[in-house]
Parts: sequence; structure tokens; C-alpha cells
Amino acid sequence: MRRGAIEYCVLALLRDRDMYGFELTRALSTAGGLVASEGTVYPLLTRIRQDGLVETFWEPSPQGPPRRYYRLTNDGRLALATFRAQWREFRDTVDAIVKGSDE
Amino acid sequence: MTTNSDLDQIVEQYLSRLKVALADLPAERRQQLIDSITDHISEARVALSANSEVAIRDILDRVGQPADIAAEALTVQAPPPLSRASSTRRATIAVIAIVVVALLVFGGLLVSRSNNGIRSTTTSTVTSVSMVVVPDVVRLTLGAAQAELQAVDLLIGQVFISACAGSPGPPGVVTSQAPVGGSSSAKGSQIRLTVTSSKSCP
Repeated sequence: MRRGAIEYCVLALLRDRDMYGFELTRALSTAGGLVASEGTVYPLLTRIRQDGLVETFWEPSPQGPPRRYYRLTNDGRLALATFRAQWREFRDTVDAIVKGSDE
Repeated sequence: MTTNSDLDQIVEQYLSRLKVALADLPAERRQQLIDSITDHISEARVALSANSEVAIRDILDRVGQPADIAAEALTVQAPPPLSRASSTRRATIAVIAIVVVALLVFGGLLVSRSNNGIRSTTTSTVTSVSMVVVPDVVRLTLGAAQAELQAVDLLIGQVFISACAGSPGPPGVVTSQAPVGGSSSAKGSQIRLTVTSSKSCP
């Protein structure tokens, strides 16, 4: 379940601007508790690219090697919108049950 | 005192351990992943104020254990990529539609038979039905969903096709199911699915 959610966190990070791999994985690992390590994000990036949710392009970097940027596709936007709705429903249901057993 | 080439060597050693850990991946995927992580480490080093051994080890720690990355790559690789060809998708939908019609006809026959007096046997069979856990097929293509369900002796029930592709997600993909994944159902029972349409929204 966690893996599924991370995929959408990536899409959400890309909603407002394109990001390169290092930037993206750093943002996820800094968020805390989401990913085991920065390296484990790259296989996931490959998959969502194969699924057509993101596309990539190269940009020169001011220092160092060129950067592979990730950009949200239309399919990615749709998938994110769908997930947000489903997630809200799922979270509310789990919350309701978990809170119920507390009292 | 650690020199820059000592630091390069630490990175090289890490990358060779990663290569070994990724040995089970197809060559192209493996190279792509190694390239991405090599770039990642370069970026992280550029961002450093001082290139010390501690700093490099910290970067590699954050990248993570090669075994963890390999495990992730192999898991992520497992499901076949969703078919993007719309003809395949339509064909899949057509096949499912046929299955659904067949189920409805078959179901109709059962109902008419039970109306003809076989009803008494149903009570005893219900108690001996074995239960299975319904797999979660949301986000799969119809074909993949069918295979998942069949694997545990469940059937596809009614398939609802959403009005247009704009809502929600790519076409030909399951967006919801009833009963939901994780619940238990009798073997042979039907799971209703909603899939996205390939028609684009007006």
C-alpha cells in the first residue's frame, strides 16, 4: 500500500513544476517515513514513466552532468486526481474504524 | 587525509556492489538504474560544501543498501506494463463483454432451473461453499483483473464502463470493484467492476 501511495506523492510533487531525479528523491526522503532510501525511488520513477504517467527530458545543469527532468503527463494528472478522491474516501473510512475501536 | 580519488573510489565500490545486486534485472533496466543513481550521487556531491569521507558515506547511506534498491526494482518490475494500444484494449473489453453476457445468460438459466423445482438442493450447497479472499484489482487492466480473479476462482460480474476517459485515469483500467479487495467471497461468485472508457470526454 505504501508503494502505491508513494507513486502518487511523486505525481503530486510534479504537479506544480518539473523536477530532476535528485531533487525529487531528496524531497521524498526528507518528508520522512515515506521511502526506505533515496535509491529505492528510482525503480518507481521508471515504472510510472513506462505507465505514461510522467515523461522525461534532459536539461543541462549549471554544475555537473545534465539532469533528467520528470514532467507530469495528462494521464498522470488524471491518475493523481482519481487517487486524491479515492484516498480521501479510504482515509475517512479507516479513520472512522480506527477511532471507533479507541473509544 | 582522504584525497578526492579515495572518495571517488568509495563511490565506485558502492556502484559495483549495486551492479552485483541488480544482476537479475534485464541489462537495459539495470544500466538505466545505475545511470540514474550515478547522476544522483554526482548531484549530491556537487551540493556538498566540503568533500569529506563522512559526507560521501552519508550520501551513500541516503541512497540506501543495494539489496533494498534491487528488491524494489524487482518488485516494481513484476507486473507487466499496461497495454497502451487502444485496439488491444477494445478487444479486451469486447472479450469481457462476451463473458458478462455469457454469465448473465447462464445465471438466467440457473434461476429458471431453480424455479422449476431444484430449489431444495440450494440450502445444503450454500453451507459447504468455500470462501476466498477477493484480490484488489483496482488499477489493473480488465484482462489482468480477470486473470487475478480467475486465479482464486472468482468471476467477473457486471462491468460498468465510465462515461468517458476524462474521469478517472487511463482507459480500460479498473477504477473500482465490489466486493472490494481484501474482503472474502464464496468461490465462483462475481465481482462487479467499473472501468474507464476509451472515449475522450467532450
